[in-house]
Amino acid sequence: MRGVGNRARRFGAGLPGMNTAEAAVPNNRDGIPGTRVDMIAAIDPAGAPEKQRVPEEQVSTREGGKEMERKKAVRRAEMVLMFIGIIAVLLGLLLGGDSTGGPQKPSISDVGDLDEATFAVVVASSYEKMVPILFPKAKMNVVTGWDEECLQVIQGKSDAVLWESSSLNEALEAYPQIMALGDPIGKLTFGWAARKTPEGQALCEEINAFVRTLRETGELDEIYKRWEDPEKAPDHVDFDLAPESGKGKLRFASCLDWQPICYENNGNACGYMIELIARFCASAGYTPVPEYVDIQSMLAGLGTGKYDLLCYGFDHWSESEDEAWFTDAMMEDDVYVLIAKDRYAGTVPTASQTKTGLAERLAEGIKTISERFEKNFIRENRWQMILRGLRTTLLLSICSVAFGTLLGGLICLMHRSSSPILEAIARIYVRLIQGTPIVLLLLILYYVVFGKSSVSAFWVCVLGFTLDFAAYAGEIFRSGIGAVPSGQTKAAVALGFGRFEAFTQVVFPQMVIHCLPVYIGQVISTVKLTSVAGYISVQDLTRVTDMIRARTYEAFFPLIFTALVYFCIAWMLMLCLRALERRVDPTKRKRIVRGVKMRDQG
Amino acid sequence: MIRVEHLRKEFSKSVVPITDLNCEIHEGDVVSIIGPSGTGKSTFLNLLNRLEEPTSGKIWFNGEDTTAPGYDLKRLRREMGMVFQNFNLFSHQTLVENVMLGPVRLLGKGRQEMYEQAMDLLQRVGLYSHALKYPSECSGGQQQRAAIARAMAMNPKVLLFDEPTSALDPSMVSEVLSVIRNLAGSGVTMLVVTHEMTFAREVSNRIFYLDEGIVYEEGSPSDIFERPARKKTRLFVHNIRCLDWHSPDGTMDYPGLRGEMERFAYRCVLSQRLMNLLNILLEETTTLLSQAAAPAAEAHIHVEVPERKGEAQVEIRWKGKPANILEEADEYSSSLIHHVCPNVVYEESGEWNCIRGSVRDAR
Repeated sequence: MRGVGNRARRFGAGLPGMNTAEAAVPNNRDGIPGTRVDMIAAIDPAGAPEKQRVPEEQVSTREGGKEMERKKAVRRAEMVLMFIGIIAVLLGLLLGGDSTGGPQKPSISDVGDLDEATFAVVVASSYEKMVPILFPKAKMNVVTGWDEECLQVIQGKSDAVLWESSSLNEALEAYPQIMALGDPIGKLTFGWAARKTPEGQALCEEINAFVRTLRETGELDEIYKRWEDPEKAPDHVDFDLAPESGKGKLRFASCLDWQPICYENNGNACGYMIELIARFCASAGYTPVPEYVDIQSMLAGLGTGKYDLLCYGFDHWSESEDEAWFTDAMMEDDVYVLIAKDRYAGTVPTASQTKTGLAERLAEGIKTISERFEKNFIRENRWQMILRGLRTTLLLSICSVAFGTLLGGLICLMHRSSSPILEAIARIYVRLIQGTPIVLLLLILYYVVFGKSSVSAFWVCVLGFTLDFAAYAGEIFRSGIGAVPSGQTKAAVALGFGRFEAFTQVVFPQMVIHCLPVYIGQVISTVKLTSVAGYISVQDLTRVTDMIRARTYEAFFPLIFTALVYFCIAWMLMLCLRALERRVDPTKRKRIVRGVKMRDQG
Repeated sequence: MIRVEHLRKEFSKSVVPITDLNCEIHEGDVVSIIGPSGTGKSTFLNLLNRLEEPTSGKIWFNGEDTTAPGYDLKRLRREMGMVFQNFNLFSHQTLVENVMLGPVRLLGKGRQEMYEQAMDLLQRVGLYSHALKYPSECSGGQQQRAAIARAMAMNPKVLLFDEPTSALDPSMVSEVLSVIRNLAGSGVTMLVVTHEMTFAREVSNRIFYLDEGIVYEEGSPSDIFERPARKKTRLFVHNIRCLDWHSPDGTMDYPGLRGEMERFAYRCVLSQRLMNLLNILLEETTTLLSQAAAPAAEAHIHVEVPERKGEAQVEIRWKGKPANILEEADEYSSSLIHHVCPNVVYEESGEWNCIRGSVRDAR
């Protein structure tokens, strides 16, 4: 199947640093601090108060009404334009997305034509090692997901990919534009990896013995067959078989992106290897503590001792055992070369995309949309996963923003304190956090700081985003307070207010007006930043989408859909901002004195 | 009502605006505090309501030592209203809310009751119809009047005004001053730091002239403005600039003196002609002095320029045997000196000789 296996190889090359570094590079979801600062600067907090200068009474009510009408019309037009834009983009993607473009490339008739071709490989997969050995002159495009591999081929960015037989059918079904080229060109055998410690070695041997027994009784084949056909496979693996009196916990990690070996169905971990590990735990007396993360996280977690065992396909064909012990193989797979059909020189003609009319293409597109929608969101109750992911994202954002605001207030207080030590701490903190990509901060917290503790990934994430948000919020508050003339505090104190009351009565209400636009911008930014939570195995909205992509091998639908969800969240926050601004902006509220029966002033 | 004893405030070793200030203020006094910039007038007010901590000294208010530990500063500030140079109104609140905030929050007054009072106060300062405007929508004069109403709303025993008109456009000064004038007639104790001499003279019953970190001279307005007892006070109230030049051994460095003279003339914006006349006088007299039969042992030259009068008072004093150099002079020099300075006279007192007179730019 997928090149699963050999993530191990890469692993051998020196793991934690390398993996984290590479994890961050191809993914630009982490905010580059500069970018965010620019964004904040772009929302000019001074802009709004400036407008208040015009005494409103001078604008007669009738003119004021017209002005309001005009503004409303502009807003409505803006909104319509935005939706037209979104729909246009979607249609464009739908109609043009799958068609290949660019200059004609040489056709391919057999594996021999691929000597100097470009291969798409998944980072840290077996194929990253395998391609240079099989095709010494070939180039590689390194991507992060299996669906991306296929897209690379379809879009002509790469010429070919290597693919395991176990998931071949699914891939071909998801992408009718690709085909297997000839016979298998190799074999992969897969086993698990354990820590490079005596205990790890012992664990490997225990597993080997267990698997041998199963193989001898023929049960191993039975298990494999049970999962082979996705239609008939069970919808969960029973982990409750383990006896209480066991040898303690077995913390293992797996990556659920490989049907039928380890994958997610309806929120449950399923697959051949998952059943195998459940049975092993039961028979050997371990209490299973599973965690489902991505490949890079798995490897990093094994290195730091977060996991005892990686229950995934580590292949054996070119392994160096410097960093881990490997069990014997418990399954094997053929490796095929996949190419785009329209590049094939032989007689498998593409269902030639004869140029049909726009209406027909549109109708076809709509049909495809409904099919794809069903596949990506309805089948196996995937919408429930999405809801769970959305809940996680929202919870994560809310907690981070709430705690981050408190911590930011503290940072701001320290920054303004008269003690040079506190001030220096605050300044260093802000510089440090603003200078660290959030992904690295999360990885460091999860695998280094809390590497051995049992704090859940979710709370580590909350901590990470809290630290990040606090650094920015602190600065926002500081500039907000700085925008309130200090004379007003002095005046409040001279009236008889204490310092604290002077702050709450006079400084705070004005500071809010100054801070609000930038603050909400930062909140939106943080909501979007939580999309990197998947790096440390939190199943947020983005990670759930990744999981769906891994199951359906489709990129288009899940990606666009998720982007839309994030956009909607951001949009709602912007609406909140507008409403809040209207509330806190003194010139926009009614000119009344609250709690008072007012005199007529003519 | 307020007694200040040996008050001292140091901001740093070299910046000591108040060195040893003593004074007493009685109930109903309207005290104007005048003096050159940087002599601690504003600092003095800030020390009175304890926005600044005194370095040493004592301030008694209603028989209580406000510098004693445990003294309730918030109560003190409630009883001492303050009006600032920059108004410092709360910009997120309308004028009437500005006036209401303190009494409602600090004196526990009902909102309705305070609203009525606030509107009355605003009416008193002529802002009734502006009650629902925000400070940013008002002129400086309106803001300052609102700030006065805000201070009055706390019903204070003392009102402190820190240069209430300095930040205002000249056209708005009078409206604020007339509000303060009305207050002064109502019997509130007031301390007003101001540069408006006419106002100080007309409104207050006492004037403090602050200089050298102390109350340098105090008295009734007529004492201070018409009969100032001390030289610095006189120079200040008449807005006189002066040049002092001192030669400890009696030698006359005319080029050096001339350089200083020109810089002084530049600072005072003297007319070219007046400066030339002054130069002639100084050149002639210093030449005569250095050629005199009885050499001077020590000499002082003092030039005063009252504001906008086109004239300068000159006094040259030297130590030595009595010698009227005007008479010793040759005819040319003598006529030149008398031409430039028609009222020049010679005097002697003890071992000091003195020539004084005034130079006038006739045009």
